[in-house]
Amino acid sequence: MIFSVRINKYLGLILGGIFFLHSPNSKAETFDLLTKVQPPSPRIESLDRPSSNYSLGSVIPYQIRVRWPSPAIEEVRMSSPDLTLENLELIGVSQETISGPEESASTDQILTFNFKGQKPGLAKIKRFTLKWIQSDGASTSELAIPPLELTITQPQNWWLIIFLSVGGATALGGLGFLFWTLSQKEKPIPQNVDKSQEDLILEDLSAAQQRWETNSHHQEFLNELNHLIGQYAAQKLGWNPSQEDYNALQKKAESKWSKKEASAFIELFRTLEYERFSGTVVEPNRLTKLYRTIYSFIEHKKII
Amino acid sequence: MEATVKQVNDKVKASQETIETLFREIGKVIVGQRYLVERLLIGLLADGHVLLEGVPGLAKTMSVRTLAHAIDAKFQRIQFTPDLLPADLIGTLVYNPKDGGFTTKKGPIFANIILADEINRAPSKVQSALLEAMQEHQVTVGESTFPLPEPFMVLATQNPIEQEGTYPLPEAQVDRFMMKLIVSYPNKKEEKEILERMSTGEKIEIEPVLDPKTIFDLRKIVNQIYIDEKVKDYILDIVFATRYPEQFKLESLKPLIAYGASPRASIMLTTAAKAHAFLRGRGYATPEDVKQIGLDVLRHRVIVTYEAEAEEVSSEKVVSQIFDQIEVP
Repeated sequence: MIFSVRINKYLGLILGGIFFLHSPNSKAETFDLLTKVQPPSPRIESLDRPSSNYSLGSVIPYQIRVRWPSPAIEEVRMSSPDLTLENLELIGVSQETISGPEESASTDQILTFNFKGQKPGLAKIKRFTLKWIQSDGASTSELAIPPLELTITQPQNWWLIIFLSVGGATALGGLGFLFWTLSQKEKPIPQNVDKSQEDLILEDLSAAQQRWETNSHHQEFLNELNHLIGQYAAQKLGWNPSQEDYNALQKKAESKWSKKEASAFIELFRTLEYERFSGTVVEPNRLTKLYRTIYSFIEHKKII
Repeated sequence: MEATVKQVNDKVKASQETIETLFREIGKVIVGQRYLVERLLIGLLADGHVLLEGVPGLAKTMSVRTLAHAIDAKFQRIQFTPDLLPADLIGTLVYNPKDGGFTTKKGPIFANIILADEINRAPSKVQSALLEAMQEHQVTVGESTFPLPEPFMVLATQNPIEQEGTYPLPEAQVDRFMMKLIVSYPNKKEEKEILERMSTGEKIEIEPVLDPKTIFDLRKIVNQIYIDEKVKDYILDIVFATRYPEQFKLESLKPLIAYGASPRASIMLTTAAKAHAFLRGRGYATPEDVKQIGLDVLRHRVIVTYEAEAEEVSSEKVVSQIFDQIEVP
């Protein structure tokens, strides 16, 4: 069996050679094939694509790294690529050659195509072919470069942006300060926001009474009562004790209150006068009664 | 002191009915003019003399005469003229040919209530004689001194309109009057009542409701009226403010005041405040009394400068401003 396969193999070769020798062009082609050097075959090592958005006026780089089996690149030259561009213009091409390690026996050709957008909008780089020609002029190698789409945007005026940002921030800050100032001005004095005039005087009366209970200074307490009721009369009736007498006070009180209330109010002043100026010894229970009468009068007059 | 104050209070309250009766009696003749009558009574009770100023026809003379009749006091009206002599006022010595001696004829000043009408028309000699009598309550005729009857009160009038041929009272003599009252016109209602009463021709008789002895008793009560230290301090603050206004935050008044009130003003203000308290039925004086009477007591005692006169700032305005500024105790 093995003997028979070997025989068949040798017989096929002999027969193929006889056939070949008898075809009209086979001899030349064979000669060419046997004598001609094979052209180098580059390959795309990497594609550094541009990003999808570029502002108008900025450079758009497209980098292609081609690997050549060394030293083939020395025998070829690249022809200008035929680019079909939309909304782009080619502004330049740069090339860089980098030899690989000795054992790899390769050379990298780095091609950088630089483009610029023409107007804001969609931009395209259609499929194009890189061609390298042998030194004798015969086309040798081609590499197809895939197409590319990107968007051209309106350029950013950074100075304007900075100016607007600073100005805007300043304006916002100023507005905020203005609103804060206005709110402070409009804000009523805290102690009067929720308290009427009567409330404030009633508070002062209570405080005066507590002080009196602590120190038992009758005349001082009487002076405070006189001061507070005078203050009340000034606020409620517009009475000025320095310029007006009790007759004027009575008239003012009667214009706003009933006659009975006005008389009761004047009586408070008379009682205070008696305690303060009559020379009688002040009795605490009388003072307490007077205080309560003043307090209840003002409380009764409080407008809720 | 507690008992004394209470007693005084009781006495004052007991006297109120008498005072009201007096006012009612005077009111039969004098319509309105409550302010004038009240002040006259204050002068009487406080043993002071009163200067009246007002245009003619405001019942100044009638008010004084009516008051005198109501308290059963001897009233004498003296019309001061440029030819008046001191002897015409206080009296003189008259030669008696029968015995060759001189007898004293007392002048019209020997009365309880004197109305010196248009005091600014008499010469200075006469004014001085009157004012001396006011101060001393006695007059000297020849070599004899004669006390004036008590109570003794001088009410002098000045006509603010006719100033020609007059002898303005010197400030030192004006100071002897306790109060200077400005008599004003009555209101329409009062004047209507006046013409209804006075146009009938009927004479309205006044019955005496008091006598001089009662007046003395009332004066004693007034003198006992209590005045607290705070009120005294208030009076002193006001008087000192007329002398040193800058110490009381009244710097603007300093160039307007030539002379402030004298210590007599402090005395007069105190006694007048007491009399005012008495009329109000109180046995104690209050700052309210001082405020009510203060202008009348001080308006003629504060002498203003030429600058004030040029700016038409009267002594009244100055005193009012002082009262506005000084804190009431």
